Amino acid sequence: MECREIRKRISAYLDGELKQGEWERVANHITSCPDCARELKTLQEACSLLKVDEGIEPSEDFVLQLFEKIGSGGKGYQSLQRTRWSFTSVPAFIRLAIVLLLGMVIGVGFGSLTSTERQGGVALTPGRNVAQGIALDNFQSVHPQSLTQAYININLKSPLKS
Amino acid sequence: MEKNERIITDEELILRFQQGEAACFRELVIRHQRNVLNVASRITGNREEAEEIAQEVFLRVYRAMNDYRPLTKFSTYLYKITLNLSLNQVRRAKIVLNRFFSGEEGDKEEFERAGRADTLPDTPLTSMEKEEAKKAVRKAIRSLPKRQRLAIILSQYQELSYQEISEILGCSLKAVERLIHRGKGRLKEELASYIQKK
Repeated sequence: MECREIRKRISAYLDGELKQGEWERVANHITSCPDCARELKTLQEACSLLKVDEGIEPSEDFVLQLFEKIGSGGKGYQSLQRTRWSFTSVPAFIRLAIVLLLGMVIGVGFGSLTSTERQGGVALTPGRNVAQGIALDNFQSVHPQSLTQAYININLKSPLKS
Repeated sequence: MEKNERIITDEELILRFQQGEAACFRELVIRHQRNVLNVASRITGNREEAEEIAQEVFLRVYRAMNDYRPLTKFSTYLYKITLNLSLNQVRRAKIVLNRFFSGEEGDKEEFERAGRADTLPDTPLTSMEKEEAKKAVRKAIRSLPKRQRLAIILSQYQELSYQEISEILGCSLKAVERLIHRGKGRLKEELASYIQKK
């Protein structure tokens, strides 16, 4: 077998993942090929170097905490996900848009409140007064083809002009 | 839990839990907590998040225990959930995959709590060199593409078989072999100066 082919199998050889026949072929090749033997040694050293990082131990109360969560329906992880979201995590331009939108809503609401007139429990805006002024009788005395005159009549009666 | 000479398998524990022996679940947690925690921590790079994920993994397992059927090894099932939750967490929190391996001070502190670095057997490295080597290892693993990194974590740290890794990652045995071969090749290059030191 070519060195190139052997090298493709060296990792699996190191991890004990080759079948008997393949394992023997790789093993035999390595004993007779110094380059592949060197490659094997270097890989072996790289893998053993990884073990310098041994990982972490669970906290002492890991099991206790888990059983508390089981008892409470497992709310801990959900709260972790909830706390991860905050207004500051939203991109700045979206935050700005939200603030502007809120400002507009509050402004319109406030403006509407201050300009309303309370009549019999119903708030009437100047716009509504105009609408009331524009009654059908504006059109009754006007010739059907005289829309200009109707328009003048409407403007004359508008409460906004007073 | 009765003391037997023979080691009770995970599947037997599950069966006994399903038959009403509640303490068997605790035994499963004790058996697998470290592995689940370490896979989560190597992916998220954060101890607190890893602990939360590990807890969530066991919570999900607990909820599904009565419906669990041993179609695959229990540990395979466990690692699948761990990988999914960890990767989701990484995506959600927008943290860089394997921040742990960056070698930054904060991360270093996190992973030194175990305090077991001095127990390394048969290594000529001094403690300072070990720290340097740890940093280099984390950086090297961080430099791997995602799937190579997951395959390396599962094979080199969790010591899972290629068959089990293929089931967890949902790919063929050949693909796992390729991922690990390429991953090791890159690690060998990245860690060349440390290998020569040894």
